[in-house]
Amino acid sequence: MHSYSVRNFRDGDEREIVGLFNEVYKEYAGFVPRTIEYWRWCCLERPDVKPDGIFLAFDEKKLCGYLVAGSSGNIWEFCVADGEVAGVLLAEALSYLEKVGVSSVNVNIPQDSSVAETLAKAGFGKVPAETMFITTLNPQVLISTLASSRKEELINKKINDEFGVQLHDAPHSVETEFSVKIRGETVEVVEGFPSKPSVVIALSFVDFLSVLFGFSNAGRLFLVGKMKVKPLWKLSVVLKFLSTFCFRRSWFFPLSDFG
Amino acid sequence: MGESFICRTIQKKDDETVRGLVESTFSRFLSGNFWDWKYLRNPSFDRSFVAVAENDGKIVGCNHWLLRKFKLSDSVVVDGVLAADIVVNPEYRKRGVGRTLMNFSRSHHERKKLVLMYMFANPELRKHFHTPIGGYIPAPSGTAMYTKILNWNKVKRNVAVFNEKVNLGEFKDKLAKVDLTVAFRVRDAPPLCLHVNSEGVESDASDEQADVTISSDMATFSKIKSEKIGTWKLVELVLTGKLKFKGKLRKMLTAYKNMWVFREILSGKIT
Repeated sequence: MHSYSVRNFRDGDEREIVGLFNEVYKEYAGFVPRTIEYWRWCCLERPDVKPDGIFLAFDEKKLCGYLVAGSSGNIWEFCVADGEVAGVLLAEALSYLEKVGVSSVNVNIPQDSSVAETLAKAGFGKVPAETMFITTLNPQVLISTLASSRKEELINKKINDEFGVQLHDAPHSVETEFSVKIRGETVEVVEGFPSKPSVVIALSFVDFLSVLFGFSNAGRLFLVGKMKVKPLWKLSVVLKFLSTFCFRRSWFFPLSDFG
Repeated sequence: MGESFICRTIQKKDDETVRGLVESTFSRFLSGNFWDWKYLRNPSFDRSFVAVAENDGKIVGCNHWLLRKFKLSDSVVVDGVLAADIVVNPEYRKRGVGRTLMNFSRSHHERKKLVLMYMFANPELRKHFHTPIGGYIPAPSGTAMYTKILNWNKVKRNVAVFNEKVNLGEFKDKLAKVDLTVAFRVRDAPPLCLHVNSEGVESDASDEQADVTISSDMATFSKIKSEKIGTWKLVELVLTGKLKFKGKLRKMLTAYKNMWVFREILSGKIT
């Protein structure tokens, strides 16, 4: 069992805090390296946060966890390098929050985090999490952006087709027809329906997005008639194509990022 | 015949009106100079990402967005926006202001070549408003949310508000024949016991006098205090042992019939 030293925030701690945040959350979808300026705004300058509600835990001189608690009862950030230090920080935060008269405490953590055990031990109960909803302004740009990071997969899958994509029930001003031409690792996305596509895929905008973000299964959409493929024998190529661009990481944002 | 609302980008002279509109709508959840902090002092704040809707020169709605960068893979980062506060003056709701603002903002974001838009929203509102208008889908969640109740002070404040309404004659008929004490035992939370009668609610009732005891864990408690839970869901929770009722059947039925009182008191930002 480690012995950690815990103290409140002091000016100058920002660099280490941001460094730890960037290390702990780098694998989650949507993560973009934090800056000191952003952290100061979203935590330190938040109307319900005072420096004595920010706790830092050190293993000797190395920062191994921090917690930002607000008088609204929200733990805006709870970032730890391991589960053991979480209990130490949580005990300090709960004592602070009781002192400032909070009725209930809310905290969110990544689903696979070892902190869950610490929270359960401290009497926290799991409640439904805020749901994140996402959409795209431009499906074509999204596809071509994702393609640039899936080159190896494209080569392995040996796709050599021109897909004509038709989206129905699309939101205001979204281009509903475009073509995706794949030759080896090269992907070309062009607005408008192609003159001679080798495969045509027709589905709703929302279903298309659900497949891309890994929320729906393309095969199931086809079976229930929500996705149409022409010619039918190219179905396996379509499934291969969609799975290549499917987004696989799950999303996590600390409460401080909810806006 | 639909009304016409003009949408435009916020200007400095609109700050006070917009601040007032947002803070009056969210005053239950927020305090302090929330709007100034969230927008004016935000390092990535850009006025062009706040839209206002006008009717005869009066601002009747606003829609705020925050610029964010998104990492889609180890090497790919795209520009996106987080949908923040969208507010419509209560007198102008259900008249298409929200839809007009959303479409205006969407066109603006497209011109700025943004790729993604995201938000954290009430799932019901998403289903009836955000998906039909903006094509939003739920993102695969990697988030777990936890709550701990330290005390019932907020509930006591809600009880005081409820009793004020009762004193003004509200709920008179509904409460006329009620005389019931319900104890709530939420795992790891302090005990709560509410006595309801025609005069209102008492929050310091003794546990020993409880006609009905309702026991659950935090997750189930959070569900039962929600308006959205129906009878069948409630039955399911009882059958799966997640929700336990103890007391005489007649009293339990009275508690069920008067669940609205407990929802009125326990709902909102209590937990």
